[in-house]
Amino acid sequence: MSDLVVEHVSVTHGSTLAVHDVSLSIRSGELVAVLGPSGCGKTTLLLAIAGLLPVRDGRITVGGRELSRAGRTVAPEKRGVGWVPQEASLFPHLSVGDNIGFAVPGGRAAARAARIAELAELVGLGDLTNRAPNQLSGGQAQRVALARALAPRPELLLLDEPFAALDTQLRTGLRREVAELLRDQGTTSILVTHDQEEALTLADRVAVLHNGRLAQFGTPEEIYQQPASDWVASFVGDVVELAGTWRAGRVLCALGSVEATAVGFAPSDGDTVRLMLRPEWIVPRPDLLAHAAAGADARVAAISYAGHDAMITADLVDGPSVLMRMAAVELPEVGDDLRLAVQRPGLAFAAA
Amino acid sequence: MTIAPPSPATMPTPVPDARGPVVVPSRRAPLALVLAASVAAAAAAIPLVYLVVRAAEAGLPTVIETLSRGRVLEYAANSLALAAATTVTALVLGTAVAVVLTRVRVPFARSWLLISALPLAVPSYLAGYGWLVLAPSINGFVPSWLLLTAVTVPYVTLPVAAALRGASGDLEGVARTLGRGPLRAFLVATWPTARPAAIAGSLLVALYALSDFGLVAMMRYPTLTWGINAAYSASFDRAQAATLALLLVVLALVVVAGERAARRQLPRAAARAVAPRPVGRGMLLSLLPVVAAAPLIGVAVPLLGLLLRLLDATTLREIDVPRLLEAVGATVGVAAAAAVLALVLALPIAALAARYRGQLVTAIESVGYLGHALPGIVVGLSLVFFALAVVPALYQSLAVLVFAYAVLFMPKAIGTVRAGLGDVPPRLVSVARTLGMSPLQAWWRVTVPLALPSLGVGALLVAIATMKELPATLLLRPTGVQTLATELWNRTVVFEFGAAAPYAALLVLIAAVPAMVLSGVRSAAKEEL
Repeated sequence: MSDLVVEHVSVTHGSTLAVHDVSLSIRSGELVAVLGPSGCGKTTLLLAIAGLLPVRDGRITVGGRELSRAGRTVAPEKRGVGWVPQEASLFPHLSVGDNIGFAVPGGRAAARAARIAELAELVGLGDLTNRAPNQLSGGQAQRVALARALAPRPELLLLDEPFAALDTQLRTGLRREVAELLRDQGTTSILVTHDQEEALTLADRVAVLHNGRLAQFGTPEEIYQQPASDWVASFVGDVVELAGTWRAGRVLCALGSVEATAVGFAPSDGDTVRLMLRPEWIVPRPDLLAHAAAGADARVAAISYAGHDAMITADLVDGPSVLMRMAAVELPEVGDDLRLAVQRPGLAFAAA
Repeated sequence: MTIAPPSPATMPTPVPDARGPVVVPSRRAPLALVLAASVAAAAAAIPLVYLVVRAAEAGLPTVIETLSRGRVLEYAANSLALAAATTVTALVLGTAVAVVLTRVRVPFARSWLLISALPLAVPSYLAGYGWLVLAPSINGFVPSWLLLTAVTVPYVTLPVAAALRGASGDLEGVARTLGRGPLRAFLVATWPTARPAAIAGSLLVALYALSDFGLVAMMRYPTLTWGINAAYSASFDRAQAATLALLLVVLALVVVAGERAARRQLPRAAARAVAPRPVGRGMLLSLLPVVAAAPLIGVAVPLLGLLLRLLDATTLREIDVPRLLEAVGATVGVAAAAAVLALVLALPIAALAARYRGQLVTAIESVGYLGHALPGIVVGLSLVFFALAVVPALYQSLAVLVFAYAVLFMPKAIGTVRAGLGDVPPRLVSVARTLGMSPLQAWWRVTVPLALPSLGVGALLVAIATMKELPATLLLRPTGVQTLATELWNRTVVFEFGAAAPYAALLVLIAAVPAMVLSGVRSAAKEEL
């Protein structure tokens, strides 16, 4: 059992309070992404879990064993927590094999060599164990760092933006591979990232950090479809924001009368609210009119083509313009007239 | 000697890696490390502390009485005059050379830079010996002054050249467009950024001139160091020797304090420098004497004198090979022992200073650098007293001699080792910790292997400096033990230049040449930054 429980943890980094009262509970075998913009405290949180920084308040336990509380930090080498830092950080004076075997006990040479070979095989680097770290590509170096961290069979594995330095194509392939490997091994893992797509595609659950505080903790779908705040909504994806008036579960706005859920407050009829929609919720399909929202006339002003889909800027006849994301199969042209509908309930936030 | 003995204020501080997580070391250093570093620093402080204790025992009236004697004032005046004259000429000449090498398109510019660093590798007494061979009658202030200037000029040339390369040419260009002539523009826009380097460098020259013993003694110019040696070895007037040593230390510490203050103002940022400009052949030829003067006087002429005397038929016939080999053995042996001891003492101080901050750390590190400020003769004298009074069993033993070397040259080891340890990314150590290593295991398996080259360079610097050391060796060597330096010295002072030649040649071969190579490599590396 290696559940990780982070209870009301605050961490100071230098003289600033970098993590403020964060609580997370991660089940054994789960892969959780910690997502946030740079400087939000996500790496600091990771260092505190690894025991490389002390916590100022709160408690960190793994499998019921207390690892950190104020004034007491179990040393990093005694926590059973593995760490894959940004930029691999391989030991430059050791070969790939010795890097992987750094934490494999000396003991019998044959047993050690077998374990190293097994780990190298696991990360797909079977024939590179004699290389020096500077002869590896970025992706290979990250695989070595992963194997090295897995070698002592950690209860919990921490990955700090391990794919950030890789080019896009390699990144997509490697991260899927790593996620599968971690699931196969049943290793409880935390992945720190500032990349929304990475967090949403890989993780079982996502913890969004903002200014050192936990903004939301939930499944990728919850984070994207039901963000807990307008900040989370715009951080994890594109949003269309319209001013409107609340009336009995709907928002009257430039798109018509859109069905909406109020987030974080209880509006009364006639209140001014901000309606937030995802661009792909808006469709040029009047037949869906009855489902969630009203309809409005618009003219296509611009199309930003991205291969698999396209972002369309449409000027509403009576008011602002909105963004729509459409699959790039049957795209309208600039100047076309559309009749828009909203196919799922929007989110209403209190007016600023 | 290293090009610029590092002072703690200028050592690179580990800058947090902006791209990755900054693994902050726990702010408080481990107690064991602080203790080990304190012990090493205490060892480095023994000579100075014991000297003060000794002078205090003699009592203030005795000290004042000794200081007011006629000879003492003469020694002090001579030391100050020599230091002042040498400093001024080295400042002017060194700055001129630096300007020529950075601002004029000189053929073989890199070679000239290396050549201008060479005099640092030659111990002053070796230069003195080479000149005495050619002109046995020279003595007094003027030759001491000129030769000291020649061997110390690189202390000014190298840092000023580096500063001029780093100075922004844009500023000078702006000054030109605002109506200043080339010289005015240089003085207004560029000189202020090079001035701290020039001042710090020339104060190192002053320290060298104050501490020098071998050359002034060969030239029979009575300075404080000469007086200390005379008071101790001729008359065994220990109280006078101690008082003179204390006076010399006070002067040296004042100079070192000034050097540190000047160094603190050194600008860090590099900028687009002014490109060297081409000049005519006639101009180049007229600049040649400026650039060549110091290497010629400090290196070429002495080596020529040495070579002529060495190849003399009588010299070659009379070489006492067993005795020569014995001196080589003793020299290399004490140098190796000193290198090991200095490294052992420097390691905890460097490890502490590389990773931790705070007043205690700064204090410990500064004490470790004390040897840099202490003249060799002072350390030698103080350790003679110390051994006699505290550990009589060790008086006249190699242990005290090796300890003196370690104290004197520890700063070289601290500087390089600290830089080497500081360059090891803290994140690698953190990775080792998460892989189950204790702090000590992580240090041993990650930090030490990565810092090994710097440990080697540190040890080599100490060994080279030890082989060239003269005054402390003269005071502390056990009876019967002779190093190359003392053999050279003993024969030169009785004008047996022929008998001295083989020792001088071997000293050049095993100490000066490695020093030239190393200083060339290091100054080239610094210039490339």
